[in-house]
Amino acid sequence: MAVLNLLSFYQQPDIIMAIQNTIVIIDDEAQIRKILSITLEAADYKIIESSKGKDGIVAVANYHPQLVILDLGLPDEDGLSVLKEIRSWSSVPIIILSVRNSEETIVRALDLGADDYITKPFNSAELLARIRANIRRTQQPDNETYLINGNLKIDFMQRVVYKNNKELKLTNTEYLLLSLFFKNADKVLTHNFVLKEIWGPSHMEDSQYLRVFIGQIRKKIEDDASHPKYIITASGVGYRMKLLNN
Amino acid sequence: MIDYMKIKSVRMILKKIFVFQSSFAQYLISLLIVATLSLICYSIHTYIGYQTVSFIFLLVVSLLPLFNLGPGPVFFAATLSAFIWDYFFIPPQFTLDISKIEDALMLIMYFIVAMVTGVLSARIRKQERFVRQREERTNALYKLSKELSTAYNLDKVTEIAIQNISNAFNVDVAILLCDSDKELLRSEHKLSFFKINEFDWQIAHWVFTNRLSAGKYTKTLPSSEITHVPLFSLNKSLGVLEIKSGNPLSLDQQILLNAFVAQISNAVEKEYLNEEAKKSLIISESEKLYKTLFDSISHELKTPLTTIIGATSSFKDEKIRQNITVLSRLINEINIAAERLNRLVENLLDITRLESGNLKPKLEWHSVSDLINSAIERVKNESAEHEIIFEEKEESGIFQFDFTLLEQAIVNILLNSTNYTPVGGKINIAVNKVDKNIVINISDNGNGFPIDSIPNLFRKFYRIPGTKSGGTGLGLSIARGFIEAHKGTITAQNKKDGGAEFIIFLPTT
Repeated sequence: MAVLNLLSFYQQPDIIMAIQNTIVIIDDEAQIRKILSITLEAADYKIIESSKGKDGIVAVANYHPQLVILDLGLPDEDGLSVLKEIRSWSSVPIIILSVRNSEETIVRALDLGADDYITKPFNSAELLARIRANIRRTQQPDNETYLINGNLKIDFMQRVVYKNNKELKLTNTEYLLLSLFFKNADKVLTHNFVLKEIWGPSHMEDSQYLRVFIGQIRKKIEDDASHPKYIITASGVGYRMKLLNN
Repeated sequence: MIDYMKIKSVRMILKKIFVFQSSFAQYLISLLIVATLSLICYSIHTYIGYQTVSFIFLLVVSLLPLFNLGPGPVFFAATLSAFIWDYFFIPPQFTLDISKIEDALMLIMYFIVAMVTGVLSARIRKQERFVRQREERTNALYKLSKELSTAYNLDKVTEIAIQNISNAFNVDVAILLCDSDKELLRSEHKLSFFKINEFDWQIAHWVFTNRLSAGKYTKTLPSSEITHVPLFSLNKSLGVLEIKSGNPLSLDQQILLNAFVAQISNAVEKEYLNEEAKKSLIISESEKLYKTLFDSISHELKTPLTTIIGATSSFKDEKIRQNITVLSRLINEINIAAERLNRLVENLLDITRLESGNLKPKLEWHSVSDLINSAIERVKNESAEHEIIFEEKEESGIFQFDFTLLEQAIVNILLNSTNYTPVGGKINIAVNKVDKNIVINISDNGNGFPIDSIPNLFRKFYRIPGTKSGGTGLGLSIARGFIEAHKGTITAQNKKDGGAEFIIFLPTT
């Protein structure tokens, strides 16, 4: 396969620097590619368009983009298998473009390693925000000792979370959950992913655990737990910690 | 189920009267045979001697079972002939006295031998009859199951059931079946021998619900003219078998009828299951069609809407508002998307017009080349990456047609060709006049159609499997509808040298 030949040329693909501000768009609808290109080019991104899954994979291998936008409904190949293929050798952020009401597919895509999703029709400001957040995440070092989001601060060394500089009383599980959300800020975490990370693979089906704990955490960190600002529900998919300005 | 069957067929009754079991008739026959034989022997006994007569008697008595006489009449014939021999033949004649001791011995031996042979052969005959009856039953059952196995629908099963029961038991038969909602239907199968009245319909309904026999010769409502037998499988009632008979059935017949009922119930159930399977197949097919349709329409709506929302939401960005180049590109995209939406709505309206059946072309005089050129102009944007070549070999002239409809048809075909021909491809349009028909050929140098898709191309909502997303599968079916509204035809084929070709025939008169 062409892709594999290309890869063998680079011994360690992770080390290759992604080309600044390049985005690969894989979508079979010319109209969608066009509008994405116009919007993203106006925001100073370089766009590589691809109408087929296979071409898209080759483009990602060739151009080392900073981000990939992938439509799940491709004619020649299932979008999910394109995702799997890319994920098998690259950690480039992938944003899934999909229609509403296809939560199941979105969840599968996220579990297969997609970083985020956007439903059609999308708002360009939101799209740009997501792209920025996903690119930023790849650039931030992961050996931080603390992180700040809005009025919240997490100290990984002391295993403590502060709200308005006041220490929050958290159980161990609550702390683990919060630290998972902090480390993946602005990223949708599927129920499965969170359950697996916190409780282990044998509790993958017990999403009611998660609901209970999220409820408890919200009571502690949010000003109004019924209108959460930090941990947002992505309906049918999972949860996302929203990054707030300080 | 057993208790109802005290029915007897006419044939069985006739058999009983004339052949066996009815003792009176059999004794009479025995008497007649012995009497006739006695007369004959009496007239010739002076020539053959009275001892020979005993052998003749013996012969006849041992042959009696062959005339289907039972042990009783044979016993009667043996006794009677012994007395006759003694009275009329053994000297002294006309007395029961016997003068010689050997005659007395002979009489006793005659009596014993006659009895033993007669009774034994009668018993053998009876067994033989029994075997034959059993064979008849087996045959009847075999015939039924063989015929049922060849039945291909419920109607046929019912027909076979009615004929076989009526033949085997010599009774009048009617069958009531239930509908798909498991409700008993009031109407008898059309081959039924009789129609049931309201009273019997009530009984039939009770029988259907309770799965018990009722009516004549049963404990339940014996005042009815008809015996009602339920047809049912393990867990559901299937129908009611109605039997009209003058006599109750014998035990043998009841057993046979039970076997018949079980066989028929099985066959009926099988047909019901078949029908259900067929129905659910149809439902799942139409659900699949609905889903495909829904997916394609929603995709077609969503794509331009995504463009429009994506573009307009960018306008909120101050930086974009000041960038004239980006702005005009976005506006252009909005325009294309809106046109695409408009085309979808037009397609949906067109197909509705075709479906409603009141599409009347407005016939006016137009030139064919105007038509083609106008259609090419309309797809200019969509065909920017293709080359459309229109060659008019001879002046095809003007004729009467509805310009809007035919233009739409040609546009749809051209859009189809540009959509499925690789970028840079050529689309050729040729117009010819053959006899009094205008023939329009629209061909491309793309990959052509998959062979098995050709018969379906003009079907509503049909899309060649595996083609790119976008499109509703309406364009070509609308084109055909509009062309047919002009009494024309459209066909599709692959060219010999590759590429797809549409051929439109339009009569000019």
